Order: sequence, then structure tokens, then C-alpha cells
Amino acid sequence: MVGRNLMDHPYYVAWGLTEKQIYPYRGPLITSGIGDLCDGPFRNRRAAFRVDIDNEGWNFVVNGDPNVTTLDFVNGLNNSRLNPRPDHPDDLLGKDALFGKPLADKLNEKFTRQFRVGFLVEQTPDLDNRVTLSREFKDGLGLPRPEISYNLSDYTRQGFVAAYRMKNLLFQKMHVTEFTTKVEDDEPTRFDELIDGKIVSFRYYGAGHIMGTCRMGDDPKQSVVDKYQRSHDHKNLYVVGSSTFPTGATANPTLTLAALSLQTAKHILDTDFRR
Amino acid sequence: MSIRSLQRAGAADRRRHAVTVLGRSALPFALLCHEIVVRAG
Repeated sequence: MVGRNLMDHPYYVAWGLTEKQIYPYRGPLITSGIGDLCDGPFRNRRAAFRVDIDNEGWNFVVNGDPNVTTLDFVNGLNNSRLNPRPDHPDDLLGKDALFGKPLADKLNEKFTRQFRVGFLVEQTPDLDNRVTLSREFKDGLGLPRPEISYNLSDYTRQGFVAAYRMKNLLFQKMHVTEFTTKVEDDEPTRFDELIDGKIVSFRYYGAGHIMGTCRMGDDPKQSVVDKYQRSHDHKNLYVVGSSTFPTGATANPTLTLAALSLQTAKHILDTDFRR
Repeated sequence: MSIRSLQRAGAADRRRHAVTVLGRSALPFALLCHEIVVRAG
């Protein structure tokens, strides 16, 4: 069981320009979110998600913004898709190359309306999502490199479908003009779903919330550690952190792993310390 | 170091009446050590 049930919160992201100014790039990266969509009867058929309302403009999705958009309007480029030529809207060569007050006015008009929303989707624990040691590749010390097998279950993908519907509703209600870029054919995380008779292509980002691979449980055949994060195989070996999570849900793992660490500390003191 | 060799290290430690704690990030270690120190006095 060691190495199996690797999980993250696969991240579905969409972005656009709001009708009114919302002034991102000030204050925390995430100012609010929608956390009460994490549970309900729907979970017997599709994954839940938590919604981030982000506050860093398009920094995460237009890699390096506000710099990218600024350079677009200085140099007449269109990497941000905010400076398109009418006859070639997808071309990376843009329409305007500005200077002075017209440049400042244009940037103020764009940056103050940049909006991004993110959906952290629950991922099922799957035995085939796993970390193994490579037989082929070694690092500089001669140790085997990790090999990662990772995919999304249909249950998790249906969570993306629900997130897509909610994004459409949110953008419609907020009068957001969407700029989410098309998913390329060779995008490694791409998958397609049929939604309302139309094929919709998704990509997902990692949330950095690595969980699983040392699953917690009562049965040594189905898990790696017990409820105190103590190895079933070696009674004086503890594994602390989010690797012991049996499921991932939608919340960031830090608070749970902190609580488990405190419980493990008490258990070590009660059972292993010899005074 | 592989999990297997770490498990062997854990088995060796057991003979010396010690415990081995593994993990991927610093936070759980810091909390665990702090909690042990505070509780043990």
C-alpha cells in the first residue's frame, strides 16, 4: 500500500474581465471564496469543490502578469489576449503599441477589471495513482528517481463538469467577459467531457496539496499507518503529514495535518517515552 | 533513501528503544517536537 492513493486538489481555473472595476492586485492573494458547496447529496455521484475568488488579477494564468499585459501594450504584442488585432484575434502580434498617458490609461482600464476564479476539486483515492521508484532513472547520488502515475477518476471529472457549469453561472451573473484560453491538443492534463451536447475540453493545475501514499486505517492490508500515524509494519515508525490522509476532501490539508501531529505527539509520549 | 530502508532503520531503532518519525514537510515535525517538549516538561 505504500505509495498508493496519491491525491491533490485538481484545480480548475477560469478568468475574464469584469464589467466594473474590481481593483485586484491589492491585499491578500485570495480575499474570499465559496466554501459551502463542499458537501451534499450530490457527492454520491460527483466530486465536491471549494471556490477561490482570487485577487491577483491574471498573475496565475497569464504567466507573470501584470508584466505580460504591460509589455503587450508597450511593444504591440498580444500574449495576454487583451491587445488583439480585429482580423487576427488569436495572433500573438497585437494591435496597439502605446506610450505615456494613453498607455497608463489602457493599463488602468484593463488591470482593474482582471478577475480569476478557481475550483479546488475533491479527488478520489485511487490505487493506481501512485509513486514508485524508477528502475531506469537515478539521481546524482545514484538513488532511484520517483515515478508518478496520476489520473483523475470519472467521479472527480464530474466535479469539473459541475464547476464548469457554476463558472458559467458566476460569469453570467457578474457580467464577466471570459478570456480563459483554449486547451491545446497536446496539453498533458487535458480531458474532454460532453456537456449539454457539446464537447468541452478541460485542463487542470496542481494545487500543491499533496496527500496520500501512506494511507491511514485500521486494516494493515488496506492502509500503511494506524490512526496515530504509526506504521502497521514497524511499531516505532511514525509518518506525520498529509501523506496519511485516507481521503482528500476539498479543504487545504494544513490544519488537519497539524491536529494529527499533535495527536501523534501525545501518543508517542504516552506509549513510547521511557522515563 | 527508500521507504524500505527507512523502515529498516526504524526496526533498528526499535532495538535501541527509540522511535523514528518520517514526513514530507517541516510543519508536522515542528508541531510534534514542540508538543512533546511542552507536554514532557
